[in-house]
Amino acid sequence: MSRTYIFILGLVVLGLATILGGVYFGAVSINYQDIFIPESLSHTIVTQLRVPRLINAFIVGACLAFAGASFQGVLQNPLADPYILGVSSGAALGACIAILFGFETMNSFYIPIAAIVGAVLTILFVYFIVRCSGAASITHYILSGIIVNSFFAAVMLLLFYVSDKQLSSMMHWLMGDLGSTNNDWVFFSGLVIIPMVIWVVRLSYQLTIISTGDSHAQALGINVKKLRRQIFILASCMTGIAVANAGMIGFVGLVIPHMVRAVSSQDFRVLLPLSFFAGGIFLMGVDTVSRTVLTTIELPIGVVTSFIGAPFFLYLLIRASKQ
Amino acid sequence: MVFLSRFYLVTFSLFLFASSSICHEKLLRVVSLSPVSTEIVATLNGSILVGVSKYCNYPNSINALPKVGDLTINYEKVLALNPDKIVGVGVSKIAQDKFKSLGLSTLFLESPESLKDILNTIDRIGTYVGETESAKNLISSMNVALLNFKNTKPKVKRKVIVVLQYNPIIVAGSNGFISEILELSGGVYPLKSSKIQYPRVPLERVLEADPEFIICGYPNLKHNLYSDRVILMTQAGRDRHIINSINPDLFLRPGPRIINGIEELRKVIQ
Repeated sequence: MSRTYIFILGLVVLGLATILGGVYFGAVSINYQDIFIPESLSHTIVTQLRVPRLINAFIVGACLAFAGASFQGVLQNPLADPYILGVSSGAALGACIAILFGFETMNSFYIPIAAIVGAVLTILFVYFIVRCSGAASITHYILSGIIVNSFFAAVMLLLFYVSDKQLSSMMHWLMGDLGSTNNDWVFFSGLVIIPMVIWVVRLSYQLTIISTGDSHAQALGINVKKLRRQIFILASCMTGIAVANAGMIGFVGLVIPHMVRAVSSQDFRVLLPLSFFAGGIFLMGVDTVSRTVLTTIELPIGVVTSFIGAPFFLYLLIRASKQ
Repeated sequence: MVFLSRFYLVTFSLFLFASSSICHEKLLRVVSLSPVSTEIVATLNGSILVGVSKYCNYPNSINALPKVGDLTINYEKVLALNPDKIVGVGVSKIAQDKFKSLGLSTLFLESPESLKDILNTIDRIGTYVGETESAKNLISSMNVALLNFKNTKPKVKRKVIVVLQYNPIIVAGSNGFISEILELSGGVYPLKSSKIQYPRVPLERVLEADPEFIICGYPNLKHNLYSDRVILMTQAGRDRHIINSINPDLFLRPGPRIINGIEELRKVIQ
């Protein structure tokens, strides 16, 4: 347990450092004394751009890591994450279809909502395919997810091909960008995820049991189907929010839960909340790096998460296999 | 005498103050987020531009200006330039909303699709940045040039395609300002017309259409096209009429320089 406490302490320190760094560093150097003077440039940049962006990064990272951990638990598979199950592509596809039909010009909330609807419909579709096949094994979920994912990728390419004026807006959903999100939506989505997180955390004990196997969970009186449906819908909603706020960002949903598991515990009552905070802090840090490391351009956030995530994941994998 | 000299000093300093304030009348600060809008604003009054996008490259005078972003816009840099007005053509809706939420004055227009649209875009941007008069002058001079092109349209039509990308081949389609430019330059679009502005065309279609001229959308394309056996079988390939000597921005960028584009294309095609 002491390792978990050290990890939490590390997260707190890192989180505070990231918040301070994220507020202070950026493309434009600001004067920290001016931050509290209304109407000053530093004040506007910090309150209108940097703080909402940090909050957005936290929400996106936290949602992805939390959804990833939930999927991994409920499917008892270390590979399960929003990408592999096709949920992220479903969200991006929902957004792109809404853009193509001109919803973008009506209300700035419609496109994010379309992304969330896309994510939930996708997981229901995957669930439906598996139920229809009658097999309902974990492998079937993963395989159906992979197929749905590649099919949606193809549909999205088709949309790019037939779209004309909407292309620049659609590209946003593939590139991943934390800075353009509407501030009102950022705060709104922050409020929306709170009840979802509480709900899933309440189910975390059952998740811990189900992660050891369906038959074991059933023997202990857990309604596996119901639990799976609930987690699927909630985790997809959170993935939808992450995609709605920043476009497609890879690796966070897969790497963070594994990292947390490696340094702390397999118990979902600990794993889920820690993944939530670790994901949020990780993405805040990565975003701050991506927009400050090169002064002339801003690196796409997805590139940086993969550059940091991939080697780190490999390291964890090698260390685990040695043990 | 002392009173007079004091009076003189006071009036003189007042005059200096007034003249200095007239000379340094505050210029509008405009940030332009797209090459087309940058070219239009720079042609109307270059001194009001304070920031441009990474893709803006004309005129040379804007090269020294701060770059505020590419596909992703750096909102901090834009704010730091303290702009009075922000203008852009073909900017994504997400970025448009962000600027509006930051409370900045903006004009965002869709990318022009016809010659008429281009003139309209110049008019709207000109009015927005307070250069109505120069915009009117520019539009009327462009109208005169376009009318002149129309009246002196070459009798012989050459089959011309503008290739924007190789492997797969993407061309400028039959609707849009590029095809209008080609028509005024004495060209005709030889492929099957479609509603898509930039269609992807299979090589066999290109062979079937047998263009007499192929205009390159970027300079290195010439090498690719000349190394393609199918392209070499077309008339343009056989006659070595794959052209990369014209700056593609002149005919691909829907701004004031299309007139030069038509002139250059005419010289080559005829």
